[in-house]
Amino acid sequence: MSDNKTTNRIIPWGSLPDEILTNIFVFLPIKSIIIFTSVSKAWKSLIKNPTFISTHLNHSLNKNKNQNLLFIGLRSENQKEFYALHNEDDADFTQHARFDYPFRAPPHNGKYSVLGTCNGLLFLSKVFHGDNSFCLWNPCVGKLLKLPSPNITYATHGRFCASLGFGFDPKTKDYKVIRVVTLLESFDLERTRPQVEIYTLSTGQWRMLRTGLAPIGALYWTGPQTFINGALHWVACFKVSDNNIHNFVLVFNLGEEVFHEILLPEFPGHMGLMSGSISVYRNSIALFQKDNGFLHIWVMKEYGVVSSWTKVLSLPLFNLDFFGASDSIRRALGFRRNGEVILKLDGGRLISLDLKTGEIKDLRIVGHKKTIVDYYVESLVLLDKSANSEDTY
Amino acid sequence: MKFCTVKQYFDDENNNNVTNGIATTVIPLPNKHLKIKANNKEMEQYEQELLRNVMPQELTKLILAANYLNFKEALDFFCRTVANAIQNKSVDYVRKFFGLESDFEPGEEEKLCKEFAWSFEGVDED
Repeated sequence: MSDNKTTNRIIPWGSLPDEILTNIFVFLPIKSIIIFTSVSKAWKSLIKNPTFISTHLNHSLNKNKNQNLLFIGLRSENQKEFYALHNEDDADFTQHARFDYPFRAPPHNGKYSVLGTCNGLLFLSKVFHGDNSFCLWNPCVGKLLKLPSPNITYATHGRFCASLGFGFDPKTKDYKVIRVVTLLESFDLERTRPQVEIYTLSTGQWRMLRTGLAPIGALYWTGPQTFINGALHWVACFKVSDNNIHNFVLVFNLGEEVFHEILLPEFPGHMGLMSGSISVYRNSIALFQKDNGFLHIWVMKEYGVVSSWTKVLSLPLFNLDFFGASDSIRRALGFRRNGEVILKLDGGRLISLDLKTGEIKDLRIVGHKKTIVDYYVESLVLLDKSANSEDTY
Repeated sequence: MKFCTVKQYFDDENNNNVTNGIATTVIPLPNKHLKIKANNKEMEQYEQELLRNVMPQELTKLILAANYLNFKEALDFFCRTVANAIQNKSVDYVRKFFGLESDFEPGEEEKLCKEFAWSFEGVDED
């Protein structure tokens, strides 16, 4: 690019430095980025590269364009799963994209559910004949990775109950799947400690956690996951004495691979078996608790500070007048980035409720029994994984 | 800070990208930016104007100049302009725009297209 010709010389774009090409590509929609891998060998190797994928992801996470997407797991009228991304900032909550269930096979060997998302990847899990199978899927680039079988299975350990989680460790720049397994054969709530195994994307393998053991107790969790501030969260309990069950939030830090506890707020009956779940709330967590015909919502205003648990709302579950008829709340699904809580009503209708003003917004989406919502960001993660019959579909 | 770099830019005679045209477009940019920043519509218009009046080659020089001057806002603006010009376009259109030729082996390009077949739907007509 540097002979001393006249300044009218056409400078071929191909010789633009990679940082500048990268700076152009990050402004493109994902579809275009993928298509442009076919432009030339240089473009292909620039795009299908972990460095570019990471730069693009950081750009997506930081840009304050109106592109805050919410992932919603849905089911069509003929019982087929599909997934939709909606624009959170758009007044009409318009659909940005839609993806179908990625497997063609009929569900005679079980169906996968999405348990959570992270950096554009979806974490899928299915249980069949007592065993778990898992996949990581980026629907934006059409890459699906099936995980190997974990160490603890029905064949090796008998009946078990597993709580799962998936997230990104910024220290090692790696994706991890965590499996906290309570073995049910000879289970003792006062003594049994869950077994933990971890899968990392970089190694492609599962390993048992030997240090930083899980505390004694049991987890009750049916998904979806709560991953925030680099840690996974589940509601767990520990039997203090015969009539005394202590409930808490079990936290697993993905980078350090250690557990710790966050105490739950005190409420009547909190020392017994409770019906509750936690959710990501902005940069912290929230607790949904059903009790006596009411839904109570607590938020931890300062993440990790137990005294900052604040009950922000108590809603009756039945005979609500949202739409002029008698509505019931089935469950709370999570929060929008603006702090509004998303509720699923009887019949499946999804609404969002402003905790301060009480204003309701009909999202005009119908959910199903297992619908989940989660923040989503489009990314190219997994694009650099080579395609083979298992990976793409 | 920006003014020091500008002076250096003109003094640096080894830099083949220096032309008067660039100086007159890039230098007034900070002022224009401050004026336009609040108004997205005007920004779009300015972008359209830029694309019409400035050939792709000139745009390259603008980008390289902004990069050399370490002028992040201008660099992002020009790069975004290029991105808007090529987004949702076909591979052939992009090759023509950049003056690039395919250097793939015969089978390779087909394989790529097949791998991402679904991405190619809905691309703008050339």
